[in-house]
Amino acid sequence: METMPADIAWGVIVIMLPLAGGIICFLWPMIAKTLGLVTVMGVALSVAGLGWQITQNGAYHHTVGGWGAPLGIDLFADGLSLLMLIMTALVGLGISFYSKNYFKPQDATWFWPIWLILLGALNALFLSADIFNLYVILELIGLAAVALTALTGHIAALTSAMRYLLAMLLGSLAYLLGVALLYHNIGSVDIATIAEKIKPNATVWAALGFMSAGLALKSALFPLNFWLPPAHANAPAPVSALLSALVVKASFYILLRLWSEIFGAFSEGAAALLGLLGAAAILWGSLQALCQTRVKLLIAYSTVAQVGYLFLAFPLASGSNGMVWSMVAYLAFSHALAKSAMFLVAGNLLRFSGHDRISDLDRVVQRLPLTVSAFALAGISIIGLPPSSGFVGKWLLIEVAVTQGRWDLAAIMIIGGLLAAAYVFKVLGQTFSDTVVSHDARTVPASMEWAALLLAIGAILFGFIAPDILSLTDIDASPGTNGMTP
Amino acid sequence: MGSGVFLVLVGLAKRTGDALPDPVPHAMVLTGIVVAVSATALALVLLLRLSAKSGQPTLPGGRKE
Repeated sequence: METMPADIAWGVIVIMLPLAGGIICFLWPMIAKTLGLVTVMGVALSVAGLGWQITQNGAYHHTVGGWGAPLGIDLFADGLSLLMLIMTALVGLGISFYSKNYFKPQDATWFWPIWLILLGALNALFLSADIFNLYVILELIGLAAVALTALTGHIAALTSAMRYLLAMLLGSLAYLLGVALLYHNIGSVDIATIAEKIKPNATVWAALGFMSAGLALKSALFPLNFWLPPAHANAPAPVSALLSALVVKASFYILLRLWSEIFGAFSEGAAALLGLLGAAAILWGSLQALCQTRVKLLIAYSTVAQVGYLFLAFPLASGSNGMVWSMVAYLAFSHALAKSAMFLVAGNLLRFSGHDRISDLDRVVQRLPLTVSAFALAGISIIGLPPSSGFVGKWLLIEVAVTQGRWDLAAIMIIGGLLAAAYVFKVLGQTFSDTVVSHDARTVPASMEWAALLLAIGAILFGFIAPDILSLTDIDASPGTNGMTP
Repeated sequence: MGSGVFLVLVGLAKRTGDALPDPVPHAMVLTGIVVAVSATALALVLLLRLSAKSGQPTLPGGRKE
Protein backbone atom coordinates (compact mmCIF):
# COMPACT_ATOMS: atom_id res chain seq x y z
CA MET A 1 0.00 0.00 0.00
CA GLU A 2 2.98 2.32 0.38
CA THR A 3 3.15 2.92 -3.34
CA MET A 4 -0.39 4.25 -3.45
CA PRO A 5 -0.33 7.97 -4.18
CA ALA A 6 -2.13 9.82 -1.43
CA ASP A 7 -3.90 12.16 -3.80
CA ILE A 8 -5.98 9.72 -5.81
CA ALA A 9 -9.53 11.05 -5.70
CA TRP A 10 -11.03 7.84 -4.26
CA GLY A 11 -14.18 9.72 -3.33
CA VAL A 12 -14.85 10.55 -6.97
CA ILE A 13 -14.10 6.98 -8.06
CA VAL A 14 -16.47 5.61 -5.43
CA ILE A 15 -19.30 7.63 -7.01
CA MET A 16 -18.40 7.53 -10.68
CA LEU A 17 -17.49 3.86 -10.96
CA PRO A 18 -20.94 2.44 -10.13
CA LEU A 19 -22.71 5.15 -12.15
CA ALA A 20 -20.59 4.40 -15.21
CA GLY A 21 -21.00 0.66 -14.60
CA GLY A 22 -24.77 1.10 -14.35
CA ILE A 23 -24.97 2.94 -17.65
CA ILE A 24 -22.81 0.35 -19.42
CA CYS A 25 -25.05 -2.38 -18.00
CA PHE A 26 -28.04 -0.62 -19.56
CA LEU A 27 -26.30 -0.51 -22.92
CA TRP A 28 -24.97 -4.08 -22.93
CA PRO A 29 -27.39 -6.24 -20.94
CA MET A 30 -25.45 -9.34 -21.99
CA ILE A 31 -22.51 -8.54 -19.75
CA ALA A 32 -24.59 -6.92 -16.98
CA LYS A 33 -24.06 -9.67 -14.41
CA THR A 34 -20.29 -9.95 -14.81
CA LEU A 35 -19.80 -6.22 -15.08
CA GLY A 36 -22.05 -5.65 -12.07
CA LEU A 37 -20.02 -7.99 -9.88
CA VAL A 38 -16.73 -6.48 -11.06
CA THR A 39 -18.02 -2.97 -10.42
CA VAL A 40 -19.22 -3.76 -6.92
CA MET A 41 -15.84 -5.29 -6.10
CA GLY A 42 -14.12 -2.26 -7.59
CA VAL A 43 -16.24 0.01 -5.42
CA ALA A 44 -15.36 -2.03 -2.34
CA LEU A 45 -11.66 -1.67 -3.17
CA SER A 46 -12.03 2.08 -3.73
CA VAL A 47 -13.80 2.41 -0.38
CA ALA A 48 -10.84 0.59 1.15
CA GLY A 49 -8.54 3.07 -0.59
CA LEU A 50 -10.58 5.98 0.69
CA GLY A 51 -10.57 4.48 4.16
CA TRP A 52 -6.79 4.16 4.09
CA GLN A 53 -6.54 7.77 2.94
CA ILE A 54 -8.84 8.99 5.72
CA THR A 55 -7.15 7.07 8.51
CA GLN A 56 -3.77 8.38 7.32
CA ASN A 57 -4.60 12.00 6.51
CA GLY A 58 -7.78 12.76 8.43
CA ALA A 59 -11.01 13.89 6.83
CA TYR A 60 -11.20 13.79 3.06
CA HIS A 61 -12.18 16.82 1.07
CA HIS A 62 -12.49 17.20 -2.65
CA THR A 63 -13.72 20.20 -4.58
CA VAL A 64 -15.25 18.85 -7.76
CA GLY A 65 -13.98 20.68 -10.82
CA GLY A 66 -11.99 23.06 -8.62
CA TRP A 67 -15.02 25.08 -7.52
CA GLY A 68 -14.93 26.01 -3.85
CA ALA A 69 -17.45 25.75 -1.03
CA PRO A 70 -19.91 28.62 -1.55
CA LEU A 71 -20.70 27.84 -5.20
CA GLY A 72 -19.27 24.45 -6.12
CA ILE A 73 -20.28 20.99 -5.06
CA ASP A 74 -17.87 19.64 -2.49
CA LEU A 75 -17.25 16.06 -1.60
CA PHE A 76 -16.47 15.45 2.01
CA ALA A 77 -15.77 12.34 4.04
CA ASP A 78 -15.06 11.96 7.72
CA GLY A 79 -15.17 8.89 9.93
CA LEU A 80 -18.95 8.78 9.96
CA SER A 81 -19.16 8.85 6.16
CA LEU A 82 -16.44 6.23 5.99
CA LEU A 83 -18.37 3.93 8.33
CA MET A 84 -21.48 4.28 6.17
CA LEU A 85 -19.44 3.70 2.99
CA ILE A 86 -17.94 0.53 4.45
CA MET A 87 -21.44 -0.61 5.43
CA THR A 88 -22.68 0.00 1.89
CA ALA A 89 -19.71 -1.79 0.36
CA LEU A 90 -20.00 -4.86 2.61
CA VAL A 91 -23.76 -5.23 2.28
CA GLY A 92 -23.46 -4.48 -1.44
CA LEU A 93 -20.90 -7.24 -1.92
CA GLY A 94 -23.05 -9.75 -0.06
CA ILE A 95 -26.18 -8.84 -1.96
CA SER A 96 -24.39 -8.86 -5.31
CA PHE A 97 -23.05 -12.37 -4.80
CA TYR A 98 -26.51 -13.42 -3.70
CA SER A 99 -28.19 -11.84 -6.71
CA LYS A 100 -25.82 -13.57 -9.10
CA ASN A 101 -28.02 -16.66 -9.00
CA TYR A 102 -31.25 -15.18 -7.70
CA PHE A 103 -32.77 -13.39 -10.63
CA LYS A 104 -34.27 -14.83 -13.75
CA PRO A 105 -32.34 -13.56 -16.80
CA GLN A 106 -34.99 -11.05 -17.87
CA ASP A 107 -35.13 -9.51 -14.40
CA ALA A 108 -31.36 -9.51 -14.04
CA THR A 109 -30.87 -7.24 -17.03
CA TRP A 110 -32.84 -4.61 -15.15
CA PHE A 111 -31.64 -5.35 -11.66
CA TRP A 112 -27.94 -4.76 -12.25
CA PRO A 113 -28.04 -1.31 -13.87
CA ILE A 114 -30.52 0.06 -11.32
CA TRP A 115 -28.64 -1.46 -8.40
CA LEU A 116 -25.36 0.03 -9.60
CA ILE A 117 -26.94 3.46 -9.97
CA LEU A 118 -28.44 3.09 -6.50
CA LEU A 119 -25.00 2.15 -5.17
CA GLY A 120 -23.44 5.22 -6.79
CA ALA A 121 -26.18 7.43 -5.36
CA LEU A 122 -25.75 5.99 -1.86
CA ASN A 123 -22.01 6.59 -1.98
CA ALA A 124 -22.59 10.12 -3.24
CA LEU A 125 -25.01 10.73 -0.39
CA PHE A 126 -22.49 9.68 2.24
CA LEU A 127 -19.88 11.94 0.64
CA SER A 128 -21.95 15.12 0.28
CA ALA A 129 -21.52 18.21 2.38
CA ASP A 130 -24.27 20.27 0.82
CA ILE A 131 -27.96 20.10 1.75
CA PHE A 132 -29.25 20.78 -1.77
CA ASN A 133 -26.96 18.18 -3.27
CA LEU A 134 -28.34 15.80 -0.67
CA TYR A 135 -31.85 16.52 -1.95
CA VAL A 136 -30.94 15.61 -5.53
CA ILE A 137 -29.22 12.42 -4.41
CA LEU A 138 -32.12 11.56 -2.14
CA GLU A 139 -34.44 11.74 -5.15
CA LEU A 140 -32.06 9.59 -7.18
CA ILE A 141 -32.00 6.98 -4.42
CA GLY A 142 -35.79 7.14 -4.13
CA LEU A 143 -36.34 6.66 -7.87
CA ALA A 144 -33.87 3.77 -8.07
CA ALA A 145 -35.40 2.13 -5.00
CA VAL A 146 -38.93 2.44 -6.41
CA ALA A 147 -37.81 0.98 -9.73
CA LEU A 148 -36.22 -1.96 -7.90
CA THR A 149 -39.38 -2.54 -5.86
CA ALA A 150 -41.45 -2.76 -9.03
CA LEU A 151 -38.94 -5.12 -10.64
CA THR A 152 -41.07 -8.25 -10.64
CA GLY A 153 -44.02 -6.50 -12.26
CA HIS A 154 -46.70 -8.21 -10.15
CA ILE A 155 -49.72 -6.17 -9.19
CA ALA A 156 -48.79 -6.27 -5.51
CA ALA A 157 -45.25 -5.13 -6.27
CA LEU A 158 -46.45 -2.33 -8.57
CA THR A 159 -48.98 -1.12 -6.02
CA SER A 160 -46.50 -0.99 -3.20
CA ALA A 161 -43.93 0.64 -5.50
CA MET A 162 -46.49 3.33 -6.34
CA ARG A 163 -47.24 4.00 -2.68
CA TYR A 164 -43.52 3.98 -1.98
CA LEU A 165 -42.94 6.53 -4.76
CA LEU A 166 -45.65 8.86 -3.42
CA ALA A 167 -44.21 8.65 0.10
CA MET A 168 -40.69 9.28 -1.23
CA LEU A 169 -41.78 12.32 -3.25
CA LEU A 170 -43.69 13.80 -0.34
CA GLY A 171 -40.71 13.24 1.94
CA SER A 172 -38.17 14.81 -0.38
CA LEU A 173 -40.38 17.80 -1.18
CA ALA A 174 -40.81 18.49 2.51
CA TYR A 175 -37.05 18.25 2.81
CA LEU A 176 -36.58 20.61 -0.16
CA LEU A 177 -38.92 23.16 1.43
CA GLY A 178 -36.72 23.00 4.51
CA VAL A 179 -33.65 23.54 2.33
CA ALA A 180 -35.29 26.59 0.73
CA LEU A 181 -36.09 28.12 4.10
CA LEU A 182 -32.62 27.48 5.44
CA TYR A 183 -31.05 28.93 2.31
CA HIS A 184 -33.21 32.02 2.60
CA ASN A 185 -32.26 32.44 6.21
CA ILE A 186 -28.57 31.77 5.93
CA GLY A 187 -27.59 32.19 2.30
CA SER A 188 -25.71 28.94 1.94
CA VAL A 189 -26.39 25.29 1.39
CA ASP A 190 -23.06 24.10 2.75
CA ILE A 191 -23.57 22.21 6.03
CA ALA A 192 -20.54 23.70 7.75
CA THR A 193 -21.40 27.28 6.77
CA ILE A 194 -24.96 26.82 7.98
CA ALA A 195 -23.74 25.38 11.27
CA GLU A 196 -21.59 28.46 11.82
CA LYS A 197 -24.26 31.03 11.06
CA ILE A 198 -27.41 29.44 12.37
CA LYS A 199 -29.51 31.20 15.00
CA PRO A 200 -32.78 29.88 16.35
CA ASN A 201 -35.71 31.79 14.88
CA ALA A 202 -39.08 31.01 13.36
CA THR A 203 -37.74 30.27 9.86
CA VAL A 204 -35.12 27.89 11.16
CA TRP A 205 -37.73 26.16 13.29
CA ALA A 206 -39.96 25.71 10.26
CA ALA A 207 -37.02 24.39 8.25
CA LEU A 208 -36.14 21.99 11.04
CA GLY A 209 -39.72 20.75 11.14
CA PHE A 210 -40.05 20.24 7.39
CA MET A 211 -36.68 18.58 6.97
CA SER A 212 -37.10 16.28 9.95
CA ALA A 213 -40.62 15.30 8.98
CA GLY A 214 -39.64 14.60 5.38
CA LEU A 215 -36.63 12.53 6.37
CA ALA A 216 -38.56 10.72 9.10
CA LEU A 217 -41.11 9.75 6.45
CA LYS A 218 -38.31 8.41 4.29
CA SER A 219 -36.74 6.54 7.19
CA ALA A 220 -40.13 5.01 8.05
CA LEU A 221 -40.27 6.40 11.57
CA PHE A 222 -43.49 5.38 13.31
CA PRO A 223 -46.23 6.51 12.49
CA LEU A 224 -44.92 7.39 9.03
CA ASN A 225 -44.01 3.79 8.30
CA PHE A 226 -47.14 2.80 6.37
CA TRP A 227 -45.27 2.42 3.09
CA LEU A 228 -42.42 0.27 4.33
CA PRO A 229 -43.86 -3.19 5.09
CA PRO A 230 -45.69 -3.67 1.76
CA ALA A 231 -42.80 -2.27 -0.27
CA HIS A 232 -40.21 -4.38 1.49
CA ALA A 233 -42.31 -7.52 1.54
CA ASN A 234 -43.31 -7.41 -2.12
CA ALA A 235 -39.91 -6.62 -3.56
CA PRO A 236 -37.54 -9.45 -4.55
CA ALA A 237 -35.43 -10.60 -1.58
CA PRO A 238 -32.13 -8.94 -2.53
CA VAL A 239 -34.03 -5.71 -3.14
CA SER A 240 -35.77 -5.89 0.24
CA ALA A 241 -32.36 -6.41 1.78
CA LEU A 242 -31.02 -3.34 -0.03
CA LEU A 243 -34.01 -1.19 0.91
CA SER A 244 -34.02 -2.23 4.52
CA ALA A 245 -30.28 -2.23 5.10
CA LEU A 246 -29.15 0.75 3.06
CA VAL A 247 -31.91 2.96 1.64
CA VAL A 248 -33.61 3.54 4.99
CA LYS A 249 -30.18 4.36 6.45
CA ALA A 250 -29.55 6.96 3.75
CA SER A 251 -32.25 9.34 4.91
CA PHE A 252 -31.44 8.57 8.52
CA TYR A 253 -27.83 9.52 7.80
CA ILE A 254 -28.93 12.96 6.55
CA LEU A 255 -31.04 13.43 9.64
CA LEU A 256 -28.07 12.42 11.78
CA ARG A 257 -25.79 14.85 9.96
CA LEU A 258 -28.26 17.72 10.20
CA TRP A 259 -28.93 17.21 13.88
CA SER A 260 -25.38 16.56 14.96
CA GLU A 261 -24.01 19.50 12.95
CA ILE A 262 -26.80 22.07 12.76
CA PHE A 263 -29.92 21.59 14.79
CA GLY A 264 -28.70 19.59 17.76
CA ALA A 265 -27.82 22.56 19.92
CA PHE A 266 -31.20 24.22 20.26
CA SER A 267 -34.00 21.78 19.71
CA GLU A 268 -34.58 19.77 22.86
CA GLY A 269 -38.34 19.65 22.41
CA ALA A 270 -38.20 18.35 18.86
CA ALA A 271 -35.54 15.84 19.89
CA ALA A 272 -37.78 14.58 22.68
CA LEU A 273 -40.61 14.18 20.15
CA LEU A 274 -38.40 12.17 17.80
CA GLY A 275 -37.29 10.02 20.71
CA LEU A 276 -40.90 9.43 21.75
CA LEU A 277 -41.81 8.37 18.22
CA GLY A 278 -38.74 6.13 18.18
CA ALA A 279 -39.88 4.46 21.40
CA ALA A 280 -43.38 4.01 20.00
CA ALA A 281 -41.84 2.55 16.83
CA ILE A 282 -39.92 -0.04 18.85
CA LEU A 283 -43.01 -1.24 20.67
CA TRP A 284 -45.43 -1.04 17.75
CA GLY A 285 -43.03 -2.46 15.17
CA SER A 286 -42.03 -5.36 17.40
CA LEU A 287 -45.62 -6.21 18.27
CA GLN A 288 -46.63 -6.04 14.61
CA ALA A 289 -43.69 -8.25 13.70
CA LEU A 290 -44.86 -10.75 16.30
CA CYS A 291 -48.31 -10.88 14.71
CA GLN A 292 -47.12 -11.50 11.16
CA THR A 293 -47.57 -14.85 9.51
CA ARG A 294 -45.10 -14.33 6.67
CA VAL A 295 -41.35 -14.21 7.14
CA LYS A 296 -40.75 -11.20 4.91
CA LEU A 297 -43.45 -9.09 6.54
CA LEU A 298 -42.09 -10.05 9.95
CA ILE A 299 -38.63 -8.87 8.95
CA ALA A 300 -40.07 -5.69 7.43
CA TYR A 301 -41.85 -4.79 10.69
CA SER A 302 -38.69 -5.62 12.56
CA THR A 303 -37.01 -2.92 10.47
CA VAL A 304 -39.62 -0.43 11.68
CA ALA A 305 -38.74 -1.39 15.25
CA GLN A 306 -35.00 -1.20 14.70
CA VAL A 307 -35.31 2.23 13.07
CA GLY A 308 -37.01 3.23 16.31
CA TYR A 309 -33.78 2.41 18.18
CA LEU A 310 -31.88 4.76 15.90
CA PHE A 311 -34.26 7.61 16.69
CA LEU A 312 -33.84 7.13 20.43
CA ALA A 313 -30.46 8.79 19.97
CA PHE A 314 -32.00 12.22 19.45
CA PRO A 315 -33.21 12.91 23.01
CA LEU A 316 -30.04 11.34 24.43
CA ALA A 317 -27.64 13.36 22.31
CA SER A 318 -27.75 16.69 24.12
CA GLY A 319 -26.23 15.40 27.35
CA SER A 320 -23.46 13.25 25.90
CA ASN A 321 -21.31 15.54 23.74
CA GLY A 322 -21.73 13.64 20.52
CA MET A 323 -20.84 10.13 21.65
CA VAL A 324 -24.39 9.00 21.01
CA TRP A 325 -24.09 9.87 17.32
CA SER A 326 -21.22 7.46 16.80
CA MET A 327 -23.01 4.78 18.80
CA VAL A 328 -26.11 5.11 16.71
CA ALA A 329 -24.09 5.07 13.49
CA TYR A 330 -22.55 1.85 14.75
CA LEU A 331 -26.00 0.48 15.53
CA ALA A 332 -27.15 1.37 12.02
CA PHE A 333 -24.09 -0.43 10.68
CA SER A 334 -24.79 -3.61 12.61
CA HIS A 335 -28.48 -3.49 11.73
CA ALA A 336 -27.61 -3.18 8.04
CA LEU A 337 -25.55 -6.38 8.13
CA ALA A 338 -28.02 -8.37 10.21
CA LYS A 339 -31.13 -7.21 8.40
CA SER A 340 -29.73 -7.81 4.93
CA ALA A 341 -28.77 -11.32 6.05
CA MET A 342 -32.34 -11.87 7.30
CA PHE A 343 -33.94 -10.76 4.05
CA LEU A 344 -31.57 -12.96 2.06
CA VAL A 345 -32.58 -15.86 4.30
CA ALA A 346 -36.21 -15.06 3.57
CA GLY A 347 -35.32 -15.15 -0.12
CA ASN A 348 -33.75 -18.58 0.32
CA LEU A 349 -36.83 -19.92 2.13
CA LEU A 350 -39.02 -18.47 -0.59
CA ARG A 351 -36.90 -20.04 -3.31
CA PHE A 352 -36.77 -23.32 -1.44
CA SER A 353 -40.42 -23.89 -0.66
CA GLY A 354 -42.22 -21.38 -2.84
CA HIS A 355 -43.83 -19.55 0.09
CA ASP A 356 -42.74 -17.77 3.23
CA ARG A 357 -45.58 -18.61 5.60
CA ILE A 358 -44.04 -19.08 9.00
CA SER A 359 -46.42 -21.82 10.10
CA ASP A 360 -45.61 -23.99 7.07
CA LEU A 361 -41.87 -24.00 7.50
CA ASP A 362 -41.10 -27.64 8.14
CA ARG A 363 -37.76 -29.25 8.87
CA VAL A 364 -35.97 -26.44 7.08
CA VAL A 365 -33.19 -26.79 9.59
CA GLN A 366 -32.25 -30.18 8.17
CA ARG A 367 -32.56 -29.19 4.57
CA LEU A 368 -31.10 -25.67 4.60
CA PRO A 369 -28.77 -25.70 7.62
CA LEU A 370 -26.64 -22.81 6.40
CA THR A 371 -29.66 -20.62 5.79
CA VAL A 372 -31.14 -21.29 9.21
CA SER A 373 -27.77 -20.65 10.87
CA ALA A 374 -27.64 -17.32 9.04
CA PHE A 375 -31.10 -16.45 10.36
CA ALA A 376 -30.13 -17.44 13.89
CA LEU A 377 -26.91 -15.42 13.83
CA ALA A 378 -28.62 -12.36 12.34
CA GLY A 379 -31.37 -12.82 14.91
CA ILE A 380 -28.80 -12.75 17.72
CA SER A 381 -27.59 -9.40 16.49
CA ILE A 382 -31.12 -8.01 16.06
CA ILE A 383 -32.14 -9.14 19.55
CA GLY A 384 -28.91 -7.72 20.95
CA LEU A 385 -27.38 -10.78 22.57
CA PRO A 386 -23.65 -10.72 23.28
CA PRO A 387 -21.16 -10.88 21.61
CA SER A 388 -22.86 -9.55 18.47
CA SER A 389 -22.49 -6.02 17.13
CA GLY A 390 -26.17 -5.40 17.86
CA PHE A 391 -25.45 -6.12 21.52
CA VAL A 392 -22.62 -3.60 21.68
CA GLY A 393 -24.67 -0.86 20.00
CA LYS A 394 -27.74 -1.39 22.16
CA TRP A 395 -25.73 -1.82 25.35
CA LEU A 396 -23.98 1.51 24.79
CA LEU A 397 -27.30 3.23 24.12
CA ILE A 398 -28.89 1.73 27.23
CA GLU A 399 -25.88 2.76 29.28
CA VAL A 400 -26.16 6.35 28.07
CA ALA A 401 -29.88 6.34 28.80
CA VAL A 402 -29.28 5.08 32.33
CA THR A 403 -26.51 7.54 33.10
CA GLN A 404 -28.78 10.36 31.96
CA GLY A 405 -31.56 9.06 34.16
CA ARG A 406 -33.77 8.19 31.19
CA TRP A 407 -34.98 4.90 32.71
CA ASP A 408 -38.07 5.00 30.50
CA LEU A 409 -36.00 4.84 27.31
CA ALA A 410 -33.74 2.15 28.72
CA ALA A 411 -36.75 0.06 29.69
CA ILE A 412 -38.25 0.40 26.22
CA MET A 413 -34.98 -0.71 24.64
CA ILE A 414 -34.93 -3.79 26.84
CA ILE A 415 -38.58 -4.59 26.12
CA GLY A 416 -37.84 -4.14 22.41
CA GLY A 417 -35.01 -6.67 22.75
CA LEU A 418 -37.33 -9.18 24.42
CA LEU A 419 -39.97 -8.74 21.74
CA ALA A 420 -37.29 -9.16 19.07
CA ALA A 421 -36.27 -12.42 20.75
CA ALA A 422 -39.90 -13.50 20.63
CA TYR A 423 -40.31 -12.91 16.91
CA VAL A 424 -36.93 -14.35 15.95
CA PHE A 425 -37.64 -17.53 17.91
CA LYS A 426 -41.12 -17.70 16.45
CA VAL A 427 -39.50 -18.28 13.07
CA LEU A 428 -36.62 -20.40 14.38
CA GLY A 429 -38.96 -22.66 16.34
CA GLN A 430 -40.96 -23.44 13.23
CA THR A 431 -37.86 -24.39 11.28
CA PHE A 432 -37.25 -27.20 13.77
CA SER A 433 -40.79 -28.56 13.61
CA ASP A 434 -41.14 -32.02 12.15
CA THR A 435 -44.55 -31.64 10.57
CA VAL A 436 -44.42 -32.53 6.91
CA VAL A 437 -45.98 -30.04 4.54
CA SER A 438 -46.05 -31.19 0.99
CA HIS A 439 -44.50 -28.82 -1.45
CA ASP A 440 -42.14 -29.06 -4.35
CA ALA A 441 -38.79 -28.32 -2.75
CA ARG A 442 -36.30 -26.62 -5.03
CA THR A 443 -32.58 -26.43 -4.50
CA VAL A 444 -31.06 -23.17 -3.35
CA PRO A 445 -27.74 -22.25 -4.98
CA ALA A 446 -24.82 -22.41 -2.56
CA SER A 447 -23.82 -18.81 -3.29
CA MET A 448 -27.20 -17.65 -1.98
CA GLU A 449 -26.83 -19.61 1.25
CA TRP A 450 -23.27 -18.46 1.82
CA ALA A 451 -23.99 -14.79 1.05
CA ALA A 452 -26.64 -14.74 3.77
CA LEU A 453 -24.43 -16.64 6.22
CA LEU A 454 -21.39 -14.42 5.66
CA LEU A 455 -23.40 -11.24 6.21
CA ALA A 456 -24.80 -12.71 9.43
CA ILE A 457 -21.34 -13.77 10.60
CA GLY A 458 -20.17 -10.23 9.80
CA ALA A 459 -22.93 -8.86 12.03
CA ILE A 460 -21.56 -10.97 14.90
CA LEU A 461 -17.85 -10.43 14.25
CA PHE A 462 -18.10 -6.65 14.08
CA GLY A 463 -19.10 -6.82 17.73
CA PHE A 464 -15.54 -7.85 18.55
CA ILE A 465 -13.92 -4.85 16.90
CA ALA A 466 -16.50 -2.34 18.13
CA PRO A 467 -13.91 -0.02 19.74
CA ASP A 468 -12.05 0.31 16.45
CA ILE A 469 -15.23 1.12 14.59
CA LEU A 470 -16.38 3.60 17.22
CA SER A 471 -13.01 5.37 17.09
CA LEU A 472 -13.40 5.63 13.29
CA THR A 473 -16.24 8.06 13.76
CA ASP A 474 -14.03 10.37 15.78
CA ILE A 475 -12.07 11.42 12.70
CA ASP A 476 -12.80 15.10 12.30
CA ALA A 477 -16.52 15.36 12.82
CA SER A 478 -16.91 18.83 11.30
CA PRO A 479 -17.29 18.99 7.52
CA GLY A 480 -16.27 21.94 5.43
CA THR A 481 -12.84 22.65 6.88
CA ASN A 482 -11.78 22.88 3.23
CA GLY A 483 -8.95 20.46 3.82
CA MET A 484 -6.91 23.15 5.57
CA THR A 485 -6.97 21.52 8.98
CA PRO A 486 -6.89 17.75 8.78
CA MET B 1 -47.00 20.53 -3.67
CA GLY B 2 -43.98 20.30 -5.93
CA SER B 3 -44.77 23.48 -7.83
CA GLY B 4 -45.52 25.22 -4.56
CA VAL B 5 -42.10 24.43 -3.16
CA PHE B 6 -40.45 25.60 -6.37
CA LEU B 7 -42.40 28.87 -6.28
CA VAL B 8 -41.35 29.44 -2.69
CA LEU B 9 -37.74 28.90 -3.72
CA VAL B 10 -38.00 31.40 -6.58
CA GLY B 11 -39.87 33.85 -4.39
CA LEU B 12 -37.16 33.72 -1.77
CA ALA B 13 -34.61 34.64 -4.44
CA LYS B 14 -35.81 38.26 -4.48
CA ARG B 15 -33.34 40.54 -2.80
CA THR B 16 -34.13 43.79 -1.11
CA GLY B 17 -33.51 46.97 -3.08
CA ASP B 18 -32.70 47.11 -6.76
CA ALA B 19 -30.13 44.31 -6.75
CA LEU B 20 -30.55 41.48 -9.24
CA PRO B 21 -32.28 38.38 -7.89
CA ASP B 22 -30.12 35.71 -6.33
CA PRO B 23 -29.34 33.15 -9.08
CA VAL B 24 -28.67 30.19 -6.79
CA PRO B 25 -32.32 29.39 -5.95
CA HIS B 26 -33.14 29.54 -9.65
CA ALA B 27 -30.46 26.99 -10.36
CA MET B 28 -31.84 24.86 -7.55
CA VAL B 29 -35.38 25.13 -8.94
CA LEU B 30 -34.16 24.09 -12.40
CA THR B 31 -32.51 21.03 -10.91
CA GLY B 32 -35.60 20.34 -8.85
CA ILE B 33 -37.85 20.56 -11.92
CA VAL B 34 -35.69 18.07 -13.78
CA VAL B 35 -35.89 15.69 -10.85
CA ALA B 36 -39.65 16.20 -10.56
CA VAL B 37 -40.16 15.48 -14.27
CA SER B 38 -38.30 12.19 -14.04
CA ALA B 39 -40.21 11.24 -10.90
CA THR B 40 -43.50 12.03 -12.64
CA ALA B 41 -42.45 9.94 -15.63
CA LEU B 42 -41.69 6.99 -13.37
CA ALA B 43 -45.00 7.42 -11.58
CA LEU B 44 -46.88 7.50 -14.90
CA VAL B 45 -45.17 4.35 -16.16
CA LEU B 46 -45.97 2.58 -12.89
CA LEU B 47 -49.60 3.68 -13.02
CA LEU B 48 -50.00 2.69 -16.68
CA ARG B 49 -48.61 -0.75 -16.00
CA LEU B 50 -50.76 -1.05 -12.90
CA SER B 51 -53.98 -0.11 -14.65
CA ALA B 52 -53.13 -2.37 -17.57
CA LYS B 53 -52.65 -5.29 -15.18
CA SER B 54 -55.50 -4.70 -12.79
CA GLY B 55 -57.96 -2.94 -15.07
CA GLN B 56 -58.65 -0.28 -12.47
CA PRO B 57 -57.50 3.30 -12.40
CA THR B 58 -57.08 3.36 -8.61
CA LEU B 59 -54.66 1.75 -6.22
CA PRO B 60 -56.21 -1.44 -4.87
CA GLY B 61 -57.16 -1.16 -1.25
CA GLY B 62 -57.51 2.59 -1.56
CA ARG B 63 -60.88 4.29 -1.34
CA LYS B 64 -62.71 4.31 -4.63
CA GLU B 65 -64.77 7.38 -5.35
